[in-house]
Amino acid sequence: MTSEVAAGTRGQWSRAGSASARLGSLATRWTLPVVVCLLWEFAARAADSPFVPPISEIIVQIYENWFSAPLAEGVVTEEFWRDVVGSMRRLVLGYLLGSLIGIAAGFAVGLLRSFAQYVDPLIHFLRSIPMSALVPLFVLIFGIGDSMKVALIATAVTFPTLINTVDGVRSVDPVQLSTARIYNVTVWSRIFHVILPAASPSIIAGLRISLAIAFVLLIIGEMSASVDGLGYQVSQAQDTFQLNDMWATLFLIGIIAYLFSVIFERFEKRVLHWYKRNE
Amino acid sequence: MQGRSLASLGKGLVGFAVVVGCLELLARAGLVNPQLLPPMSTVLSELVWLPADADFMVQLSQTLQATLLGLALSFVVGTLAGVVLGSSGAIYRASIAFLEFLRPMPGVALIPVAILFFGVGHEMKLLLVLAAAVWPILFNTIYAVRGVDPTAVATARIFGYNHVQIMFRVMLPHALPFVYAGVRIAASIALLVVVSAELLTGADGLGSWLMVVGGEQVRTDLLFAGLIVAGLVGWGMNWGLVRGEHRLFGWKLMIHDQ
Repeated sequence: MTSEVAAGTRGQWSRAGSASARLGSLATRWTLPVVVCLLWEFAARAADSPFVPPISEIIVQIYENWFSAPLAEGVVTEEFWRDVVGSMRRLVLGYLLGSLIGIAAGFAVGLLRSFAQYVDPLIHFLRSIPMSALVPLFVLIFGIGDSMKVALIATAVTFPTLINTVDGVRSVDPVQLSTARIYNVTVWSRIFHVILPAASPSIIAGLRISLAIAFVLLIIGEMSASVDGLGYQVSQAQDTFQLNDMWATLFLIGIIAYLFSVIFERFEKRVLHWYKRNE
Repeated sequence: MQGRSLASLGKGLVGFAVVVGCLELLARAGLVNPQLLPPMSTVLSELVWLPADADFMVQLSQTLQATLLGLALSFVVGTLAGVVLGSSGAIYRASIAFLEFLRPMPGVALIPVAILFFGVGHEMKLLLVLAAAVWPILFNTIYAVRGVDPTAVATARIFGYNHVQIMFRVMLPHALPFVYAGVRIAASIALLVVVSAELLTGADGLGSWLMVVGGEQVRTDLLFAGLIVAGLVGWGMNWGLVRGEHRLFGWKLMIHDQ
């Protein structure tokens, strides 16, 4: 409790814009990562194991693999376009497709109560299937091209989005809805201006979960049935024992996943700022 | 209440029956490639005979073992680390940014690393489950511990409990209901990771069975049957956890209702 009080008074100073307070929080956040990196570096050099190269070598590899093109050609290498952008394209396409289907179907199931009772158990059963189990089937249907990965990601993204959308739609205040109906607000207007805003916290939560799932299925899809992409590169590098490559790709995947989640958080704050304030 | 839940159960079954019926008609009408979509009747008849298939049951038990053991491991690590990180403001502030950086990393990307260190096998799967499923448990524990009623902690301190005792006798029990929600999420992550690892590495289990049946033998009827089994496993785990939740935390739900 004393620490909370102390933090509170310190908070007053940082609200005044104290540079030392901001510097202090920056230092707290970065100490652990820096320490971990240093430990990795020294332990790796000491152990001299081929399995775990020192961090400095990994960073150099990241630069060499993807950022070493001359400035005139745009700094990023061909491999970047092929693997990084290729993976991102599949991810985004699959995610958008799955989200749209999930939200649309979620509205349908959420609004049509009688229909929902027939479909709910089926949805919950399908949702329980570990999505990677679909890979053999999808390879049979789609082959090993981009469409297989996009379909896999879209399918996996649909279910959490759908379920959360249904939850959100069902949680709309019935009084609000009745009021809108009494005032002769049209069905579409009711959907967009009453139900959608009320359901959006739940929908966005579903979208957040789906983003993580999308990444998982992207990697799985690329490791099992692909000729390029980040997942493929990690797997390939391990197969051919190019371990610096493997670690470099892993780090890049981690950074990209983190960036996506940060962007999503910004988006979430922007869309839901009214919700958080009212709560 | 009883009547309503029976009626909705009935409607759910009708829903299943309608979908299965449609798929059956679709397959029999010859509109879809029979290799890709076999008649559901064939799938269901294969499904019923699967428990008699000794090889399948062995593979299935491998998946279940790895999932449950990995989940237990994630629980132990997640709650222990979560209690420590949640109870100390300083440790929390020092580590939370780094943990939130590590969290979005897809666990399955670590499969090649796990193979390097453990080869293809049981330990590899456990490591992967830990790397992926610990996060919901860890974060739920941290936030739950940070939200523990300060009066309870103060009371314990007055009674002479030291910090470690407070962590495990006050904070952890208070946090458990919220942690449990994390366990439910972690369970589905664990199953996904185990099946993925089996799929990609050929380790014994449901995933590699599906790969063989779908990829080598191209027996789509068995493939669909296996998918249904996978769904039943996931659904069963969740059902079990929900039942457990009512058993363990029914008191908490009742208190909140008052």
